[in-house]
Amino acid sequence: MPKGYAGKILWVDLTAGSWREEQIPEGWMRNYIGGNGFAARILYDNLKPGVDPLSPENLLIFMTGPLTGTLFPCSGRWAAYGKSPLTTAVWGEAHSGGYWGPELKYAGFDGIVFTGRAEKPVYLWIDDGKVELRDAGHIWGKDCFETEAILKEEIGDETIRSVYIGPAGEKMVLQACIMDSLYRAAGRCGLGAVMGSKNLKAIACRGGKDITVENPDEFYRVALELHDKIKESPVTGNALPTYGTNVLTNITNEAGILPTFNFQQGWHPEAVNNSGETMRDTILVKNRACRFCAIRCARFCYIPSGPYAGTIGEGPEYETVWAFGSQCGVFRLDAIHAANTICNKYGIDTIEVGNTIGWAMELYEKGILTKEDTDGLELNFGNHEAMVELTRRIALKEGKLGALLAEGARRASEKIGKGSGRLFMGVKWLGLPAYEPRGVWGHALGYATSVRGGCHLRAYMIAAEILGIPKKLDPLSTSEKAQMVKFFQDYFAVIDSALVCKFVSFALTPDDFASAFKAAMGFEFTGDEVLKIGDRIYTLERMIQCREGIRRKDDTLPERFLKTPAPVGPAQGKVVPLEEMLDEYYRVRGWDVQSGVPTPEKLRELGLEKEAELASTLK
Amino acid sequence: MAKVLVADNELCTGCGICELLCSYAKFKVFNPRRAAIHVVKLEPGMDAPIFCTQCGLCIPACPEGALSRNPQTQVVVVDKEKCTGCGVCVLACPYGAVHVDPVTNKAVKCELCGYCLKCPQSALKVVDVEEAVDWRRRNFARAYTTAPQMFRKLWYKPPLK
Repeated sequence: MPKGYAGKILWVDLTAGSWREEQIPEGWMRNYIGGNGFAARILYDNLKPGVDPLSPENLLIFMTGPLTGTLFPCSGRWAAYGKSPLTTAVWGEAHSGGYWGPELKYAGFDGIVFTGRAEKPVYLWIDDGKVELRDAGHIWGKDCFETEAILKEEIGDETIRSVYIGPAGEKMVLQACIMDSLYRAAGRCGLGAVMGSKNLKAIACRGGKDITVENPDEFYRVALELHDKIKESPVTGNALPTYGTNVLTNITNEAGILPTFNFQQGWHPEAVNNSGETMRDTILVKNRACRFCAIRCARFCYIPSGPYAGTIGEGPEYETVWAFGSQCGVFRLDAIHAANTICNKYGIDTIEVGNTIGWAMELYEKGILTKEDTDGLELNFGNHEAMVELTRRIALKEGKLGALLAEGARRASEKIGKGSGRLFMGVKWLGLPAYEPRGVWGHALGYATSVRGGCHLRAYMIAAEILGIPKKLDPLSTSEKAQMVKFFQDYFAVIDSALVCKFVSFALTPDDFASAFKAAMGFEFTGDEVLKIGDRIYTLERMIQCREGIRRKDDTLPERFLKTPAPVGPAQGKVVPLEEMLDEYYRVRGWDVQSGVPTPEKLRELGLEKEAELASTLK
Repeated sequence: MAKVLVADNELCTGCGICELLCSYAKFKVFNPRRAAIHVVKLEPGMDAPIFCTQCGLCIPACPEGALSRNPQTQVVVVDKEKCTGCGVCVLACPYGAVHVDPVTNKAVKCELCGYCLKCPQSALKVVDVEEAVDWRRRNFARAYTTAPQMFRKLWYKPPLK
């Protein structure tokens, strides 16, 4: 068996309260690497199309990859997968750093697949290969911080690592996330609600098994070389360690792509108040890192005075700073950190909640929501008290508005009516993150075609269009965008399958992954072959969508970006010319330009035979 | 002059790369629990690498005479032939810096190989003993001042039994 893997996936049937271990076929390792690849394979083979995401028929998958927990830079990661209850994208996926991923591998498993639903709340305890389902009645209802402390106390070991849901996940708030080690979240797509629907509170792990690699000395040499590359890159070696992810606030604001007031504009004069530079000078206590991270972008912050005095914890990250900052018209870091800490405590996704609150604020200012609908909250842009309070209410499904927004923007907009859905800034009902698409057209294409909906992490075109990595593209041109989006989607699919941090892509190339795969697993790949594996994984994820009806018509952006010209900034007067980029994109991908479904020829070229058969029946 | 490993706890971000480097150096595998250096994370927000200070308290404790000070480097080393894995050195060490490896059943401690110096934060250094006193005093001062202040900000205290 190739090395680098623990070699087993744990299948837990929560309905029966039983589990079994399955060896991972070697073919999977060569063709799908791990993480996203394995999860796509498992979901395609086991998820029945059309099931309700919150029913026992949905699967909840946790995965690591062959490089997780090794000396490869930033290898402390894991991801969760399942059918998303929040979005219409079907494919639900959320990645997290933190500490749990490597621990799962040390405990003997590359991944866990949960099926069914437990009768009563339970948690899973894996102690160095020994598996046990334990009653979680006494932690059900506890917040994430309490859960972490109680699990450590109950198991009697401070060094265990756990992932868990908070009250939001238990109540199946659709923005719920899965938390790891207090501050790290697998945030997007509402997978915390799926975990809640399965009555699964937590997974605690402790492991002392070795991770071995094919050629230790060669792997050590390669890993150190890559560590040096991380150190030498201005992004991963300087900007991120110095200011954290929030280094972006000033950069994006200057480029006119910092979404402000629910994406009505892309620039604000007060944005500097929220910047990483300001954060470093004010609330930062110290830099921190996820497991085995060479970049160390986590910020441990403390608010010593003012209305949010006493707020303490890691974060906020750039996306969170935007979501509770300019998105809601708030330009003070203490309120942002308070909202961020509430999200960590109750276990909800900061991007989705911030985006949704910004949306509610625009609805309120346009008179679509009234003070009666908001339980008395004055939801004007810039009202930070209302924002922090509404965050708490959504997390706990409290009040009329809290309960309404906790159902996700899709269902909420159906209930509100009055064209409110058109004002929600999302793709496939996943809220857009912190980049205003009118000023970065390639990134806009990335949003439209992302397999999990409005997300910046399938194709981080900001790297190319703003930072010039791997090469500088004009953000306001359509040239080369489709090719670059495909490159990023394929490359990120591999990084997400090797399961290391995507930030390494600022410094490392597919060739670097090829040499790491060779030393760790003994697979002889070229950089292009690595990208082809990414293509296979991404296309398989797309097929999971397509068989449930997702087509080209769904690969679009909110009307605002296609029809209303940007009011300020470098992109002033521009809209996104999406359709011409989309045509090009499907051609580059080998997908049908009319329907957006991968063609049978393309699928066969990638070795996906049974998917090709299905594709020939899809129109 | 003898050299010794020191740490600047304020710089430590808690990533644990030193643990991986150490387990590779000792056993050519990746497994933090087999490493001779451990990063202890205490919430909220404290990270500190714990490792052998080469104090030598374990030397007289060992019933097999398996521990000795290298006369050239002054580093305390384990004689794997003599070590029986009895764990008395673990009892003797006040820092939790020695453990018995579950696979080899031999004592594992820092023998100053220097692999962990590739810490991305440069929080770990090997310095002359002369300089080491300043580093150690600083870490002790922090342990007695900053740490209790941080602990007071704990958001959750387990109920008293």
